[in-house]
Amino acid sequence: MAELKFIGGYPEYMRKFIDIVNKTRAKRKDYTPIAMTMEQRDEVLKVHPDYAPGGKRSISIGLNKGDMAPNEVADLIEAYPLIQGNEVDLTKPDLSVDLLIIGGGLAGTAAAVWANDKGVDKDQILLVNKLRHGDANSIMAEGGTQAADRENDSPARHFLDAIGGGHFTNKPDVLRALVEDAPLIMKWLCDLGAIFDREEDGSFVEKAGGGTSRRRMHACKDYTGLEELRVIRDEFRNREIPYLEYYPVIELLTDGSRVTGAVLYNLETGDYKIIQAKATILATGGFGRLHVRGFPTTNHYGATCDGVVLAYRAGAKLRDTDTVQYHPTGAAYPQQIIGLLLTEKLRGMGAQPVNKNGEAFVFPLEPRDVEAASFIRECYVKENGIVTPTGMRGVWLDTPMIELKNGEGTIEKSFPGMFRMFNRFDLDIRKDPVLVFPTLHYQNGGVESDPWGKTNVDSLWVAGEVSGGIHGKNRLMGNSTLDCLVFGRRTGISVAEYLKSDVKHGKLMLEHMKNYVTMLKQAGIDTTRKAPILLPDYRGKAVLARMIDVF
Amino acid sequence: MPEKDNNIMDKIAESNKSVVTGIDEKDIEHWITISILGSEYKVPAGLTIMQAMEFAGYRFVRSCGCRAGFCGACTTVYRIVGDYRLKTAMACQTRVEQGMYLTQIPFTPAERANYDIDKLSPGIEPFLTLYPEILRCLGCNSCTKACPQDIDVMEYIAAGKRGDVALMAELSFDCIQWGLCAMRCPAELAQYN
Ligand SMILES: Cc1cc2nc3c(=O)[nH]c(=O)nc-3n(C[C@H](O)[C@H](O)[C@H](O)COP(=O)(O)OP(=O)(O)OC[C@H]3O[C@@H](n4cnc5c(N)ncnc54)[C@H](O)[C@@H]3O)c2cc1C
Ligand code: SF4
Ligand code: FES
Repeated sequence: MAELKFIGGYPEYMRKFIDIVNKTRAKRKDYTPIAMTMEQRDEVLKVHPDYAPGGKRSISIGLNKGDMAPNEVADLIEAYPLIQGNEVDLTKPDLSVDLLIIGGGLAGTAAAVWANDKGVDKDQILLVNKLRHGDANSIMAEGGTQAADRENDSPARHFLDAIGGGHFTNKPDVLRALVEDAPLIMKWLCDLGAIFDREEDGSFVEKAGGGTSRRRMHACKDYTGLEELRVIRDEFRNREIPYLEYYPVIELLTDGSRVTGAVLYNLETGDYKIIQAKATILATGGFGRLHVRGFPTTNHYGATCDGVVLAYRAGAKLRDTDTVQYHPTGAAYPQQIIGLLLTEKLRGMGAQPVNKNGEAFVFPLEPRDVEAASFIRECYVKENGIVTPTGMRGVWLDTPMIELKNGEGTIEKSFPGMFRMFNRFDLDIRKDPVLVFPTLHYQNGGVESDPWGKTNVDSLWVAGEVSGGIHGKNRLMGNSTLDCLVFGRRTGISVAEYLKSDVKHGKLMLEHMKNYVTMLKQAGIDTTRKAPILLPDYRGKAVLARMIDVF
Repeated sequence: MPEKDNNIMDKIAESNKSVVTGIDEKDIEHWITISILGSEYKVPAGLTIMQAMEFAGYRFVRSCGCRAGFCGACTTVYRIVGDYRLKTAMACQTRVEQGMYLTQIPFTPAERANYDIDKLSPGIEPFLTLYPEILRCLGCNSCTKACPQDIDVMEYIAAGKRGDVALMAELSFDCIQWGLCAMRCPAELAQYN
């Protein structure tokens, strides 16, 4: 690559394309492409990574044998455990608690607070984290949380929107719980001091999101998850609920039928801990760091599918493993932030997707899969994308339109995080559009549960992104932070109820894991792959090639 | 590669390679030298500090969380050779520069007060009982200078001293609790809690 000349953060040749966007803006201001028909949607979805040929295979063992899953996920399901079993001493647990919560994002943290609120003694709860408490997808949520709390709206409408977005594959009973509890969750957050965007008269500012028929997105500027997690984690700390950091769970323990605890591994010192628990809530989040089909991701460093792997070995049933959510607007430039999220709210407030000819080519708020597929088609079929210096292709998201439609200063006020992120690389999103391309965003499927988060395995609950069913095969924006809070609360309450019936601790065994290994061998899975992977590995290839293990 | 249609996914994967599987040396044209905890490494120009450290062979356990500027895990302090100024940066959101020598501060020891949110009343009282050291502020502005989020930390501390909770909440809203404000404070405050 020859030395590039940069103007306002962009190489000169990209600048020319930006000029086209800037020149056509006034003309596009009052024009919005019409939404696609069902047939048109089906057509464009052919280039969506979920539907494009290849990339998936059927799971070859366990309860979901025969279900399709992305290769990257199937690889982890068809992988051997990190331990054999005989190297850990299960006879003396390091700690016995009533409730073990695995993963401290919004879901796990909320579950702890609610369990404590409903009578589980704080010292009988333990929350374990792979990284720090809060290094999670939750803290990154930008756009908002859905709740039907206006006169022209209702939980029933919210339900219809979500099930339409999910292509009618959602599990109705859990979805019902989601929409019905939403207003209550908003009240809870406000009582804890969360500062949501407000109108002059004190009512919530509520915006539209992709696939919503009413405005019901509640946001805290573009730091919604940060604010929500902040208040809930503060409440958690005020209650002095015990927690561990850098202690991922590497295997669940069962007594043969119910989950009775877990094996923890200290990421820094390398020793293990055995935790015995009467009830376990799994809230480990998603799998963005698997980079399905080679896509970049919006997810945090620890989003590696651990929960699904652990639960499946213990006999839990999964669902909707075949779909992955790609967010249409991941950053495609500059190179340092490829894949990072540009919230859907930008489009909600007027930013238009525009191709290299300055044309608005798609209705900005199609469901995410349709919107993402239309970007891919524009770049790779119609060849109307812009190519970056590193060879990535993308389309423009015309952010200055937000200022044109809502007045100057809107971006700094409503999107301080976005504005700052680009500004660090000398890009001004108030004046210039940004280049975007779909990025891996959300694990649609996961562990199946009932409306109280209970799984088919006794004493095991799930909450948050690790669960499956609520969103079916496609999630709408703002329903996932909601999902974490609703099911965090529900699992916390449900466990508290369960514990009232004088449950005893069960035996600590790894038989389920050993049986799983036998199944892997019987299925002829001959591999050195191990799971859970805990963290991705981005070390330079040259260094890895010369790595030796001497102490 | 032959066929056109199925090949879209391959093309996409190919163009994303550098962020997904790590960087291939043969694609690099511009190199710079940085120093990590005193040891020199040659790394590709244009990476973030975090990506550059990974390129050099570091696999993060600490100092890496969201990788996107939201969690405050990747707190980094550095100087550039020849410049006396001590700078601060989020490793995941800052480009490496020639001559940068850096260290990371993955954890800040700082006091956090416990309270019952239902019993707090707005005003100056809670600050005086929970964080009395707030009155020690010297007005040196070191905290503000250390903030990666461009928050006017000193100003919100001042608002707290006046009991102006609303302004304090507004000014500190974007805080990601990375902790360097507390590390730099000569009055030993824990601004971010
Ligand atoms: C950039 C971004 C923006 C988003 N924006 C929105 C939005 O606007 N609205 C919305 O509704 N949703 C949004 N989402 C989705 C939403 O934030 C997440 O789906 C949700 O917060 C997940 O919460 P969780 O508690 O289930 O998991 P997480 O928040 O990811 O927490 C899981 C925790 O478990 C830990 N963990 C993982 N494995 C283990 C293990 N083996 N042992 C112990 N701990 C483990 C992880 O390290 C992590 O701390 C967004 C997501 C991202 C990434
Ligand atoms: S660093 Fe400490 S003393 Fe200096 S302005 Fe900030 S709070 Fe005050
Ligand atoms: S890793 Fe979270 S802010 Fe950098």
